[in-house]
Amino acid sequence: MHQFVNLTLIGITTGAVYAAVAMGLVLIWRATRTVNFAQGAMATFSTYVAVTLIDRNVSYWLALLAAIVTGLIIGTLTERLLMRPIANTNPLNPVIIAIGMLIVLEAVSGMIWGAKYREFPSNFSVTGIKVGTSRIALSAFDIYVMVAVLVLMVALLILFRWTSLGLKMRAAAFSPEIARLLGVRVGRMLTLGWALAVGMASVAGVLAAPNVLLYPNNMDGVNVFAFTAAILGGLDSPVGALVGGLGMGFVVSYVGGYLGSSLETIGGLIVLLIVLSFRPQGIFAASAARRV
Amino acid sequence: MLQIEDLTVSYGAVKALKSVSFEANEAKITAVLGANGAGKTTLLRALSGLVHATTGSAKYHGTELIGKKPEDIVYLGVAQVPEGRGVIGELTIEENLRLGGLFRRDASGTKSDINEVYEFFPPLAQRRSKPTFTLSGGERQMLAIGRAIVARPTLLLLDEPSLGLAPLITASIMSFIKGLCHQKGLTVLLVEQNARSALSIADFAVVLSVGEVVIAKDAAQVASDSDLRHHYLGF
Amino acid sequence: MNSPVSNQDEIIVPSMKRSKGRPRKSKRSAQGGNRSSGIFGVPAVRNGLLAIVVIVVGYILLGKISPYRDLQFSQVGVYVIALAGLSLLVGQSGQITLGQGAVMMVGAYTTALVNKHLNLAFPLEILLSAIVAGLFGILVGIVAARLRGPYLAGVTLSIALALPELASKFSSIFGGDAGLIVSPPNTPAFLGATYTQQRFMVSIVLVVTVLVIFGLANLYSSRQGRKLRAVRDDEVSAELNGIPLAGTQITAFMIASVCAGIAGSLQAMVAQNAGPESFTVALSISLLAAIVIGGVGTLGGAVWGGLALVFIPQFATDYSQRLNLSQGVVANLALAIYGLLLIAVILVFPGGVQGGLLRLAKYISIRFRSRGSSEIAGGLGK
Ligand SMILES: Nc1ncnc2c1ncn2[C@@H]1O[C@H](COP(=O)(O)OP(=O)(O)OP(=O)(O)O)[C@@H](O)[C@H]1O
Ligand SMILES: [Mg+2]
Repeated sequence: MHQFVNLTLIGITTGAVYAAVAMGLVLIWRATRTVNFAQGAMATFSTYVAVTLIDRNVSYWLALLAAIVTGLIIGTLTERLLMRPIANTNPLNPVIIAIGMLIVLEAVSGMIWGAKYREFPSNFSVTGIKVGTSRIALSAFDIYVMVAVLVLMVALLILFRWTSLGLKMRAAAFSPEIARLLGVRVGRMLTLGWALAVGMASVAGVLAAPNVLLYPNNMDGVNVFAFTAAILGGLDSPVGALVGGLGMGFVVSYVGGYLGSSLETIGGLIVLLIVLSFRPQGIFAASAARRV
Repeated sequence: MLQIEDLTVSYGAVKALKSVSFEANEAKITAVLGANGAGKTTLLRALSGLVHATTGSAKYHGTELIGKKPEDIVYLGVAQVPEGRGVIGELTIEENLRLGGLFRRDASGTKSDINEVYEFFPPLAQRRSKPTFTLSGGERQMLAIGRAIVARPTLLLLDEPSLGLAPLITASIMSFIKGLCHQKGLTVLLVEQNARSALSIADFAVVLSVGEVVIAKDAAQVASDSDLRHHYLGF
Repeated sequence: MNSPVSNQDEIIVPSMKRSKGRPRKSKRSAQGGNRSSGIFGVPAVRNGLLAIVVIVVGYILLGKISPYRDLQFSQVGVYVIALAGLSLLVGQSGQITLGQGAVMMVGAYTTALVNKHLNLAFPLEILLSAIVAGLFGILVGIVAARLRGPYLAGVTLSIALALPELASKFSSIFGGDAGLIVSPPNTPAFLGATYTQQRFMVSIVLVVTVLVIFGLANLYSSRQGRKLRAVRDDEVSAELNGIPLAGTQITAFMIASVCAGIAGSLQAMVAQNAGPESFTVALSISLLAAIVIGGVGTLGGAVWGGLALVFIPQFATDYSQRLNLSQGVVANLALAIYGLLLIAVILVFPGGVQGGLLRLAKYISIRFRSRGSSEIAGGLGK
C-alpha cells in the first residue's frame, strides 16, 4: 500500500513534467499545425543557458526567465528562418526540418557543454515530505512543478478559448488565406506560436532537469513520453495534454515500479496502441472530418 | 464607389484578366457574370489582394487597393466571401463569426452584429458552439456571408454565393443580399454563375468573357435583351 | 497539399537495353512536390549509378581493398537496403516512420536466434529474417493505416524506443544488453585462403543489395508502385478509383519492413552480434535523415544516404582531430553535419543528392542537346 501511494505520487509528478512538455507540442500544433520534434533539444538548450547562469550565482528565478527568453528567441528564429520558407510545400518538410534542428541542437549542446551529466539545482527541497513517521515520495519541489504545470495549462486554455489572439493564431494555422482576408497577420501569428511554444518548452525543460539530470539529449526520453502523452490527449487540446501526461506518468511509474523499469517504454507503447485503436485522433480530439 | 481601370492579371503565361475597367456604384449591387474560367474569381481576388495584378488600378473611395495586402485591405471596409464557402471547418460557428469582427475596435458592436446574424440565420444560432464542418453547404454559405457582415464592410465582394444551393435557398440568400444593400447602404460586387438569380437583384451587370468585359449595362437591360442573354449567359 | 493524382503527369521513358526491355516510368518524389527521378530517372544517372555499383562490387570481389574498407562497404550495403525500403515508404507512399531501425532489429534478432537454435544455411537466415520483419511490418501497417501524420510518427517512435528495451528485459531469450552472438557464414573453401571472412561477408552484402535494389526498381514501375503514388497524392481520389487505401498502405509498410529485416539480418552477420545498443531511436532518426539527404522516393537516394551514413562520421572525426578541436566538438561534428545537411536539403536542395544530380544531368544534356533530351524532360516530371 505504501508502495502504491508512492508510485502514484511519482506518477503524478513525472506526469506533470510530461504534461508540460506535451503542452508545448499542443501549442505549436494549434498555432502552426506542425509537430516540433526538436522541442526537447530546444528545451535542453535553454536549460543549459539557465544552469550556466545559476553556476554564476544568478538566482533560480532569473535563470528561469533567461531560459524562457532563450526559448522565445529560438522559436522566433526557427519560424522565421526555417519554417517560413517551406510554408505551403509538402507537409513532411516541417517535420524533417524539425528533426534536423533536433540533431543540430543536440550536437551544439554537446559541443558547448560537453557530454557529461550535470546536476540542476532546484529552488525547493527535493526530499520527500514527512507524513507521520515515514517520508512520502512527494517533495516541495514536486508540488512546485505541479502548480507550475497547472498554471501553464490554464494560461493555454485561456489563450485559445477566450482571447482573440488565440483565435487568430488558430485561424492562421488552419486556413492562412481566409485568415488574411479577415485581417489576421498570419506571419506574425506563426512566429508568435513558435516563440510561445518553445518558451513554454523551456519552462518544462527547467522543471524536468532536477529529476532527470542535464545532458545534451536528456529530454529524448521525456520527449517521447510527452509526445505520446500529447497524442493520447489528441494533440489539439491542452486538457488532453494534462490528462495524457498524467496517464503516461502513471503508466511509467506503475510499470516501472511493479514490473521493472525496462518495461516502461513498452507499457507506454501498449497504452498508445490501445487508445489509438479506439480513437485514432486521441482522446480529446473533436472527431474532425478528414479534409478533402 | 469602386473604380476599376485597366486591370490585368496573369498566372504565368495565362492572362486571366485583360484590361478590365468598370465602376461599381455606392449602395448598389453590381453583378459580375460569365462562364467558367471567365476570370470572375480572379477579379475578386485581385481586389482583396490575394493575387497580384500585373497592371491597372482599383480605387475604392479614392484609395488604391492594388498593391495592398489582404490584411490591410480589410481595414478599408472591404470584405470578401471567398469561392466555395470559405469558412474554417475546424473552428466553431461562433468562432468563425468572431473572427469576422476581430479587427474591429468595438467589441460590443461585434457582439450585437453576431447576434444579428443569428437572428437572420436561425440554423446557425442553434449550433453556435459546434465545429463548422458539421454544417450543410447552405448553412456554411450563410455563415460565410454572416461572417463578412460582422466585419461591418462598406464594400462586400461575394464569390458565387449560390454555388451548390437549392433554388429555394438561393432565392432567400439573394433577397438577404438585396436587403443588406438597401438597409445598410452596402456596395455589393456579386459574382455569379447563376445569372438569372443574380440579375433578379442586381442594379448593374458586367459580363466577363475570357478575361475581358464584354457587357456593362443596367441589369434590367441585360435581363430584357434576349439576344444578349442567349449569347453570353445561356438562358 | 500535394497536387492531385500525378499519374497523368507520368511520361513513359523509353527503356534502355539494360532495363529488361520493359518500359519504365518515372514520377515525382514526395519532397515538396518536387521534381525527381523515378528510380534512376534519367538514363545517364541510372546507368552511371549502376556502373558505380558494378565497379565497386567487382572491385571488392576481386579483393583489391583493405579489410577495413570491406567492413565499411558492408555497412554501406546494409544501410542502402534499409534506406531503399524507407525511401519507398516515405517517398512513394507518403507515410512517415521513425521506426525503420527497430524493424532492422527484428531482422537482426531473428537471424541471431535462428543462428543460435537452428542450423540453417545463411541465405535461409536472411530469408527468415525478411519474413519475420515483413510480418512485423504488416502489423505496424495495420495500425498505421488508421493513423495520419503525427499520430503515425508517434506510434513508430514509441516502437523504436520500446523494442530495444524488450531485448534487455527478456535477457534469457535475447541476451540482455550484451545481445546475442552471431556466428557469420563460413567462407567456402573453393574461394581460396586469401579470401577472408570479411571479404566473403561484403560480397554477400553487396550481392543482396543489388538484388534488393533491382527488385524495388521493378516494383516502382509496377502497378503496385502506381497505386502507392496514387494514394500518396490524393487519398480520396485514389479510393474513388477503386484502390484500397488500407491495403496499399499496409503493403508499403510490409515492403519497407522486409528491406529493414534483410538489412538487420546482414548487420547481425557483419557485426557478429545482435544487441539493443545497435538499434536505438537514434538509428531510426539517422535513417530518416539519410534518405532525405540522399533523395527520398528514389533508389539512388538510398545509395547516397548509405554512403553518407558511413562516410560522414569518418570524415568529421578525421577532420576535427586533424584540426585539434576539443573532444566535445569531435564527438558531435558528424551529428551537426547531418542536421545541417538535412535542413539544407529541405531549404535549398529539394530532392537531395539524387535530385541535384538529376538536375545536373538535365543541364548537361540540354547544353549538349543529345538525343536523350526528351527522355530527360520526362524523367524530371513537373
Ligand atoms: N492559381 C491559378 N494558376 C493558374 N491559372 C489560374 C489560377 N487560378 C485561375 N486560373 C486560370 O485563370 C482563368 C480564370 O479563372 P477564375 O477562377 O478567375 O475563373 P472564374 O470566372 O471564377 O470561373 P468559375 O466560374 O469556374 O469559378 C482560368 O482560365 C483559370 O484556369
Ligand atoms: Mg470562380
